[in-house]
Amino acid sequence: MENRIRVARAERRLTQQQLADAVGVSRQTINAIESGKFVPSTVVALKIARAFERPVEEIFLLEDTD
Amino acid sequence: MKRFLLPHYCKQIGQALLVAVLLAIMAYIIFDADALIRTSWVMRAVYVVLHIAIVLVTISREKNEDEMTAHLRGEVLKEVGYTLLILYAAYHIIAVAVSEDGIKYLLHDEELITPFIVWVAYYARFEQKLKKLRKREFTI
Repeated sequence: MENRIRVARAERRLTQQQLADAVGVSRQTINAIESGKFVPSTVVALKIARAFERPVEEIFLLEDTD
Repeated sequence: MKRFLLPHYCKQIGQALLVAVLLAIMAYIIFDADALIRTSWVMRAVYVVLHIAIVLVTISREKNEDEMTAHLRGEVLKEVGYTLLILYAAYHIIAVAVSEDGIKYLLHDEELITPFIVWVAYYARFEQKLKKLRKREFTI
């Protein structure tokens, strides 16, 4: 699964720590999600999308291999 | 799961205890402290401390305990559990196949029965959860 978290963070000038605080997870978790090492739960994905004020489909994208 | 875990500092205490046990074992090997180790209270203390340390390290929170660490915890438990189950089954199959006494000695060995009891508990709990989940399914 792809995600646009890094791009969205850059657009809003948010650090990983700030996003982590907003979502309620650790910075390491945000880093792992961004780099594709960890797929978040639906709740965390929705919280991330809400932090960016975007629909979740704009932040997380299904790939053909998923 | 998070609410059942001990505070993070307990993990550090457990790690320190593990180091202490390791040093005690190394001291025994290096200094050949047979006489000391054979004193029953020393052996008991090392044994008890080792098990306390294992529990503290295993069921303590990480410094940043969140969804990802909980997920990792579950994944590792699964991997270890399945591996142990396969090794346990393989050991029993081989032991019974090669042993002249058959299964007689296995049934009296509590160290071999314990994994079986753990497996029964796992299987019963898994089936219970599955049944509960299926009860809640709605079909349109």
